[in-house]
Formats: sequence, structure tokens, C-alpha cells
Amino acid sequence: MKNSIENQPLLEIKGLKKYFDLSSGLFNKEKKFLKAVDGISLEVYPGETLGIVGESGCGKSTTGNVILRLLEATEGQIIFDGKDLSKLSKKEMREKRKDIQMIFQDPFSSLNPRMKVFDIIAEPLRSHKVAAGKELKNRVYELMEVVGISKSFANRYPHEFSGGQRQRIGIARALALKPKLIVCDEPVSALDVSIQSQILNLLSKLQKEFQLTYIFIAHGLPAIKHISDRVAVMYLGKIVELATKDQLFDSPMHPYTEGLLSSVPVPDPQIRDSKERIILEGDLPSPANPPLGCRFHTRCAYADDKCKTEEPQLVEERDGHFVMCHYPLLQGKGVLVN
Amino acid sequence: MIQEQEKPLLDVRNLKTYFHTENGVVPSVDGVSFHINKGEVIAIVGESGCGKSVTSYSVMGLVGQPGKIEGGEILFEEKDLTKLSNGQMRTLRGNEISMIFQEPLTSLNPLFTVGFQISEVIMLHEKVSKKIAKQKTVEMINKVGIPNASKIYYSFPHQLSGGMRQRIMIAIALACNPKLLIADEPTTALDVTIQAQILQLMKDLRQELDTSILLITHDLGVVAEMVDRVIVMYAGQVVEEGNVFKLFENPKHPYTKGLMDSTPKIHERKEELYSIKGTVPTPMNMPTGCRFYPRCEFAMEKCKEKAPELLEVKQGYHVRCWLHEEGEVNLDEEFNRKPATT
Repeated sequence: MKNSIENQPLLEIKGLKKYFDLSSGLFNKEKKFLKAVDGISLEVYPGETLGIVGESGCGKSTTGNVILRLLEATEGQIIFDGKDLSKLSKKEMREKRKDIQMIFQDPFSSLNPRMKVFDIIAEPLRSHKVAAGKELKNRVYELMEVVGISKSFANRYPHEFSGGQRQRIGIARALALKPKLIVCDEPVSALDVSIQSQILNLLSKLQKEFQLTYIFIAHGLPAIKHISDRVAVMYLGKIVELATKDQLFDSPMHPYTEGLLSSVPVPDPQIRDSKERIILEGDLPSPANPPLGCRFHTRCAYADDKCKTEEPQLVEERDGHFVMCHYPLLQGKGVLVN
Repeated sequence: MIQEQEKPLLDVRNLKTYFHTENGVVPSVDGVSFHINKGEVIAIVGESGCGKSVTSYSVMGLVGQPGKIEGGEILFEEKDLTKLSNGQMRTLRGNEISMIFQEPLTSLNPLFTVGFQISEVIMLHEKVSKKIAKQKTVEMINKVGIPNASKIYYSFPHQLSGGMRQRIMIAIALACNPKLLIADEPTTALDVTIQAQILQLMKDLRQELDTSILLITHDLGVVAEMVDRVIVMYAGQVVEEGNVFKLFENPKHPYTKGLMDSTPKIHERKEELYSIKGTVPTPMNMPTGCRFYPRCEFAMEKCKEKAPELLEVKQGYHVRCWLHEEGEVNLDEEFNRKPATT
């Protein structure tokens, strides 16, 4: 990370909202919305990895899609490199996408089955007219080498590769235009453990090599913890806690984060009897109909009447540690052991 | 502690389940042996394609075309399940052995109420009246921790959340008090807070009903949390088997060790992550000799040529690896002794 630009965020999201219209029927006057992302703000600094974690329906993937404008935001600003992406025309946005790329979850559906590996990786270079001819060829081979796929596979089709190798191809494609920011949407969730660690290590290596900034979206807490510098925890469309990795995993301040951390099974049988478990009761409420007041109050062990009526704000409780809770935990139970 | 049993509840011996595909024979399960004692919880752990699910389907007699059990015995209370007719298997399934699957939405029938689906099992196996079956169903729904059981009885699967559906699946599986429950990735499709609830429920019910559980999973965390004994599978074979505490403290097979070291752990401050090089071999390019040797840090000349047998390195602890041929070896020490060959 360069010190001179450390304080200037690469990406700044302000009050971002994404509502999906659920109302149907011609004569149905009542408007219903699914508030997938409901007013989130965050900053991403150059060279860091920001992890976004949460359970299904919390809006983490929608956030990623909205940043790239694969979905249009309902409200809010996405300031990248000093420009508000949501105000750009299609053409300007196209130009900006060179700097922001995405890696998808499912390496089986995100690669065109009818294209050869060479063409998949070359496509961004061709469509942005960055390279052609010999230069293009060299660049593609270089990218293949960087992600650890042999040049001799250039003329093969995606179905000939395993999941891990396909994810490598997807990473090469994302790197092709030398982006500044890569949004990784569950890049390792579909992979086996031994392949997962290969991809996580590859992402870390590439980050150092090319000074990349990552937004790493995942539901798996161990992977998030491994790769992130800072972590945002989302619950039903809101960021409920945002902190550095150590702060979050050592002393979570939101009761949801505490419960979430505690529910991850630890691969050490010695711990199972000694560990005090906090098991969150109940189910996730539907994001189409979130609870009033604090969204987490239906499952929270600490909730009182205030939580049922008044919605808390995201407040900086400690240095760089933001929490959305009326009664932030001062001694939240973390999971790190020495 | 579990008392020593003279006869295990389930004893699988040299099981071979092959799939006859257009591209040749795929030996998904290639000579697997293991046993489960009464009241014991064991896990088969491994990555996709290692044969863990096919093993469990073989026990249930659910291997369909083009798969076939080619050899071996599956002794359940000393009866060989591979020799039973379909009809005999059907009376056994759901009654004495039952199974819960990964994806509850595809395992429940969307056209019937969940109450009907639970009571169907009870009526079929216990030959009781509708009324008694219904009573028992409501009791089961309560037991799996769903409030408001008499109302839930009339719900359809789509009206319930993922966690509730998995609870219903567990209710169906346990309705007839089976002796063995096979759980194939029961929490993989669930969110982590719901997973914690389901695992807790399985632990509680196990205490209450004294059912043996065979857990199929890829998640070492779930294994460490739940089971007494672990079986690690790789490329259709058992590579390590032993007590959960011993296995996690000091894995003996390089694959088990690699798997553990490459799992990101939520509770450790360690930054670097080990990764096993290469990928799982496909049946078409199965290495001769030890199946793991192309990916193994400890591989020797011998491994290339000769496949190791599953050896007992200490009481009740088995490893398939040449390293332990002349007695047990500690992999960490062994690794430090050898110059690293990255």
C-alpha cells in the first residue's frame, strides 16, 4: 500500500440503495419493494481487501453487482476514482469498466462454453481495443502463465477443465485489462477445500504483484478472515458492523456478528466441549418484509423495547470500528485463540 | 465413552461400486471397508468425487443405473444388504436405516403437506391408524424444534424456510426410530447460523434416541464438532481412519494433513495457507501405485510403483501410506527432516 494515497479511498459508496419492485398486477395499486440493499456506505482504500460477509438474502451480492452497474442503483452514489459511476453514460461506464472487473462464483456458468480459453481471455482486450495481433497473443499467454494455466491449453474449451482451473481462467479474464479494483463474488464457494486454498493463495499473490484492490464477497467466514484486511458484516440489506479483521474476529461489537462467529464449526475437536456456543434462535426474516426498528431484534438475545421501534445508526464506537446497534457489546466474544 | 461392542451395527467389507459409463468403468468406490458401532457417530470426509456419497447410497441400496455394486458385503446387524431384494430393502429403509439429504427442497414432495409426508412413513412402517400417525407426527415436529406443530402439519414445503425444511427431513428420517441415520451433507445448503441450529438438534436427538449416525461431509469443522471417529476418503478409497481427537491432533496420511492445512481456520491468527498441488485424479488417469503420490510432499520411489494397503498403525487406527510401513511416523517431524521440494 502506498502511503501517499492511503487516505484517499479508491471507491466510496454513499447511501446506496437497491430496491426490487415486487408489486404485480395491473390494478394493484399497493407498491411493494424488496429492499435488497437499504442505504449502505463504505470506503475501499487502494491495495486493501474489503470483505463483505453475510447470510443469504443480506444483499452482499447485489452490492457487488450495483458497484459494477450490472444492476442500476435505486439511490445513492458510487464514487470511483473521484467520479460518480451512477451518473456516467453507458459509453463512459464502458470505459470505466476497464478499471473495475469481476470474478464470479460459478466457474461453470460464467465461461462461454463455445469459446476457447484463448478467446475468453482475449475478449476484454479485443472489445476494448487494447491489443491486437502479436501483442494480443503475448498478453493472453502472459495472463495464462500468471494464473498458472499452461499455454498449451489455449485452444481448449472450458468443459475440459476442472472447477479450480476454470476459476483461474475467470481470474485471467478479470486481470486482462489491468484493473484497479476487482469485485470477487463468492470466488471459492463452489470449489473443494484443496482447490479453494490454491485460489485464495493465487488471489493474494496477484494482489501483491499488481497492486490490486479487492472487494471479496462471501458467506464463508474462514475464507473472509483469511483474505480480508477489513470486513463488513451485512444483515438484511444493512451493514451492521464494519471493522478491521482483528477487531471483528477478536472482539465483535454487534450481537449478530458475535452469533455468526460462534456458529462457525471449528476444525479442532478439542474445542467442541470447552467452547461456549451462542446459537442464534429463529430464521432469517424475509428481506421483503424486514422487522421494524433494529432488523436483528427478532433474533437478538439482548434486544429490548427500544430495539423494536427505533432503528440504530452505524456509529464509530472504536477507532475504525463501526457498529449499528443501540447496545454495542463491549466485551463481545471473538473466536481468535492464541 | 462408547462401550466395546462384540458386533458392529454396520460392517462394510471391501465394498466396490462401479459406474459403467460410455467412457468406461468408473470405480467410484473401490474396496472400502469400515464399521459403525451401536450409538456411534462417524463421518466420511473427502472432496467431491472421492466416493463418499456413493458409499452411503450403496448402504441405502439407492445406487441407480449405470452404477452397480460389484463386490463386497454390507452387513447390517449381520444381514448382508447387498443380497436383499428390493422389497426387503424397502421395509428396511426408513424403518431401520434412514437418510437425510443435502437439499431438503428437492427431497420433499412439493404437492403434499409436510405433515402427510411424515405420517406416511409412520403408517407405512408401523401399520398404525391415521389418527395415531398424526399424533405421532405432531410429536415429531415438536421434537425437531418447530413451534406450533399442529399448524405446521398442514404446511407445504415451499411455505417453510430452508432450516425448517431440513428439520422436517430429520423428523421423517427419525419417525420410526431407526438404528442408523445416514446424513449426506445435511447442512451444506444452509446458512451458518441455521447450520449451528441443525447440528445442535442432531446432537440432542442422538443423545435422546441413541441412533448411530453416519455423517457424509466435506467440512472438517462439522466433523470436529460432531463425531467420534473419522474416515478420510480419497479417489474411491479409505486413506485414513481413526478417533477424531487423534486424527485432528496428528494426521497420519499426507492427504489428511494437506486437507487440514489448506482449510482456512476462523480461530487461528496464522496468515499463510498451505495448498495441495494439482487436482484429484479422474478415473481415466488414475495413477498407478498410491493414488495420492503425484500430489504428495512425501512421495518416494516406492509410492509410484506399488499401491499401499490400509495398515493398522495403532489400535483401531488405519492409514494407507508407505511412510508408516515400519511403524508410526509423525508427519511434521518427517517433513522437517526432508529438504523441502517445492
